[in-house]
Formats: sequence, structure tokens, C-alpha cells
Amino acid sequence: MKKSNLKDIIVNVKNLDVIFKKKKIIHEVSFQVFKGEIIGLFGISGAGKTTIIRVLTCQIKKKYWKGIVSVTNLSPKKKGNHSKILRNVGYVPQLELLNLYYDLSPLVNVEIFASNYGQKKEKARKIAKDLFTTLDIPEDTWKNPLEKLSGGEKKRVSMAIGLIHKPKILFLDEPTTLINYLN
Amino acid sequence: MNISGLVRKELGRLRSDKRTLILLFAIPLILIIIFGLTSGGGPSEFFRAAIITKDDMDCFDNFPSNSTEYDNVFVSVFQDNLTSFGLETYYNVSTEFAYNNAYIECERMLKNEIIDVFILLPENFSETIENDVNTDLIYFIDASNLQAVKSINVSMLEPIAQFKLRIGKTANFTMIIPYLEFEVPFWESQVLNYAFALTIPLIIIGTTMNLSCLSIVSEGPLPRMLITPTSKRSIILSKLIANSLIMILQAGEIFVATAIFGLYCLGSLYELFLVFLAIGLCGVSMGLFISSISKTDQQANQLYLVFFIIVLLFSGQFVSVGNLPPSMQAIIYSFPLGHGIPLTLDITLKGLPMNFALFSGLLIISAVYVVLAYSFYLFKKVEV
Repeated sequence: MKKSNLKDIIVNVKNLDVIFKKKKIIHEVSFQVFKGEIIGLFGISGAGKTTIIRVLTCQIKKKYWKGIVSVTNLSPKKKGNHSKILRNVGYVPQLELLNLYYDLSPLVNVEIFASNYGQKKEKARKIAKDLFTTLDIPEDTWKNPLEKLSGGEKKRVSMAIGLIHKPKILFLDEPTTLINYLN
Repeated sequence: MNISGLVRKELGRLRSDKRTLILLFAIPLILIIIFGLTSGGGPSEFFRAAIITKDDMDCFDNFPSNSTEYDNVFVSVFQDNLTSFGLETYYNVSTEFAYNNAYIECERMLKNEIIDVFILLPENFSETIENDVNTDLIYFIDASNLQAVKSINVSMLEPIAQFKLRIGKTANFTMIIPYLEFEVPFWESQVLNYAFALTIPLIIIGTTMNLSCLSIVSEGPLPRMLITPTSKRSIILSKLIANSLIMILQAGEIFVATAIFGLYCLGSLYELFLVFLAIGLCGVSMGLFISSISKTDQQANQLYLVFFIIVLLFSGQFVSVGNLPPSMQAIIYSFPLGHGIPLTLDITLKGLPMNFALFSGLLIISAVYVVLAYSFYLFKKVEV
């Protein structure tokens, strides 16, 4: 990986400050992520790891943060960029209940999210099946309501949803909670 | 916007929650069945009657003849199988003394609830009929029973109609019934149709508002949806479409159920259904608004109850709208039932065409609530 090539920078964060109610939550954070690179954010509880992801996924309004931030060379500061950024971003939240409709099946869940990226039902279903196989989700559970699946299986369906549109960047917010070591 | 996928999601979620789905359709049906069955197909009660006829007594009016033939016909009508009345006894009196005794006996039976009503045929009963002059029909009711007073007024139409048929005369009766222009024929479901204009819009508003009032606040993954290229506008729109589709089915169910239980509609059924839909749309929009401003399910449920009570109180049924100051009138007309009830009443009982101003009012109210729901949701802090 040629880190020196600026064109390969996919996430750029420079001097990021996040301020809520006059309290600085994030202070002068800078980092860069290159294509194909995997990085981890480490810190104590409340350090602001999730807040950084929220800035990068356009969840925090620009009035609450300052600094130079770009995701796939687009700034989340411009509202017009949000849709383009989010097309390239996959996200798996810490709590899968924020990502899944428990009353629906894994396949339908994936179809719902896939339709937000403009994918047709058939294509979404095919990709979903491939992802479920890769993530080792038992086939006999694909059409059952999610509430009947185990915690680990739900987590893997949540991951599949994050990957359904083949994103350029995948944000995993503590993704291994509830996954057993065999998986 | 990927509305179709979001709409499919909404419908899929509703379909998967079978218990809620059943309730959505069962509640209006149960309410209508209660209204329908409590009234049946005809008058709401069966009354026991006594008749005192003074027709044999001398007639003091200046009539060219002195006839006594029609009181027997009137009594025989009551002796036959009427759906609303049964004859306990009758007194054919020819003297004032006999009349007084009959009157005292009838009063005793009324007090002891042996009879519900006693009818007095005056001395000139047959003469007035024969000479096409208005006939007085006096009936005594226990006035403490307000429901009976109201019902007997309506039920009296049946023996009168039968009597007219038997004697082949129709012109010489003046029926004095309150609100004659809103009259529901005795063979139609009385309670359902007189209560229809208030209860049916209320049922529609209640069920549709309930349908959508949790749709935003209770959907856990909704914030996650916003980390996709989906906009808040698409989410609100998809919820409006999906809930409106369910609402159309609900309105259709209510329409059919009321027809089965004796809907009496002088006007256009098509226009009545359109009014149902417009009221339902208001309910869905108000529910979305409640859902967008609530932070928890409990808040949404409480707000639903508050809104339902406000909608009911501002329906214009408990106060005379015309007598209120303009500001209060404006408040009443900013809620859907202020438009929905007069519209329903006009179409069903008066047979009038749909009032376009009132109908537009309903559409404007629903549009305003959708815009408000969107605006509140737009500025709501939503994070995963």
C-alpha cells in the first residue's frame, strides 16, 4: 500500500473538534485512512469513538463540529454531499436492535436496506444469500423472524446489512459483541 | 427517493405483527357491531301500549257527519303484529265518567310499568279523518324515561303508517316529529343512523390516529435508515403512503359494516366514502405528527389520548359552533370533526351533495399535520 499517494486517502480527519453545549467532546483529532487499510479506534468509555464515526457518517450537524473532514473526498459539512457519502459507507452499530427489524426475516431486512441503495429485490436477495453464507448464518433461519435467531446470528445479519451495497468504507462500532470465538 | 422499498417495509412490518393487524380491523368492526346490534334493523325497543278511544262520544266540532268507524281500525292495527308496539288493553269510552276511570287505570299501569304509553283518540278522531282535517293523536309517556320519549316518537310512525294503509287515506295526518328533515325511517336502524355522523368519523379518526401514532417513535432501526441515502422526507412519505393504504382498507371495512347494519344514506355513497377517506387521512397525519414529536412510546400514547379527547371536544357536537366567538370557531374548524361531522350529516340524512369547502378543509388539515410532522422530524436529533 502506497501511503504517500494522496489519491488513496479515503478518510481524512484533521483537527476535528466536536462541541456539544459548550463542552468539547472531541479535541483536535487527526488521522487518515488509505484504501484497503483497516484501522481501529481505541479509548475509554465516553472518549468519543462513536462520535467520530457519527461525524464521518453525516449524523452530526456541522454547527457542532469544526476541522477538516472528508470521506471519499467529500466533506460531510455540505448537506448536498451526504447522500453521495452514505452511498459509499457501510455501518454496523454496536447494538443490532438499532439495525434490525426483529419482526421481519433476515432476507427481508436486507432487502429493505438494499432498496435504500436503489438495489432491486432479486439482486439484493442474491447478494444477501452470498453474504449470509459467508457469514455462516444457517440457511434455515433466513426466512424466520429475526427475534427467533440467537444474539450472534442477529449480529451477523447486522453485518450483512452493513455490507449489502459493497461499500468503499465500512464502519464497525464494536462489532464483536455477542459473537462467539468460533465465528 | 426509494419510496417503494420503504413502503414495502412499512407494510411488511404491519403484516408481521398479526395481532395488531387483526385489532386494526377488528376494533372498527366491533364498534359498528355494537352500534348495529343495539339498534337492530328497526325501532330500538318494543313498547306496550293502551288505547282510550273517545270516538263514540259526542263530537262538538262542526263536522258534517258523526262517524265512529276509524277508531276500531286504529285499535285493530295495534292488535296485529307490529314490530314496535303491542296492545295491552283498550277502552272504548262513551261518557266522561268512563273516560276518567280509564285514564286512572292507564296512569296506574304506566306508573307500574305494565305499559310504556297510552294513546288517547279524541272525540273527533273519525270525523277529522273522514273530512281530511288534521287529526290529533295524544299519547302519554313516562317523561322520566327520556330514551323512551325519544324512541316512542319515532316508533309511532309504524302504527300510523299501517293505519293509513288500512283506511286508504294519507293526506289528513300531520306528524309532528322533531327534526323532521333528519328523520330516519322507522324500518331503518335508528340508533346507528342518528349517531352515525358523530360515531363513524370518531371511529375512523381514532383507529387511524392509533395506527400511525407509534410509527416513527417505536421504530428502532429508523435512525440507522438515515445512514443510508434515504432522506427524512422519504421516511415520512413512505409512512404516510403505507398507513394511508391500511386506512383505505379500514375505511372500506367501516363502510361495508355500516351498510350491513342498516346505513341510511340519502346522498351519494361514493361521496360518503370520499369523506371517510379524507377523515382517515387526517387521522393518519395527526398520528404521524404525534409520533414525530414524541420521544417515547408512552409519550405518544398519552398524546394520542389527549388529541383524541381534543378532537372529540372540538367536534362541534357539544357546543353550538355558530354561537361561539370567531376565534373559538377557528379552533373547532382546525380539527377534522368540525368538518367531518357536518359533511357526513349532510350526505346521509339530508341527502345533500358534498360540501366542497368542508371537504377541502379536511384535506388542508391533513396536509398541515403532514408538514408539521415532517418539520418536527427534520429538526429532531436522530443518531445511532
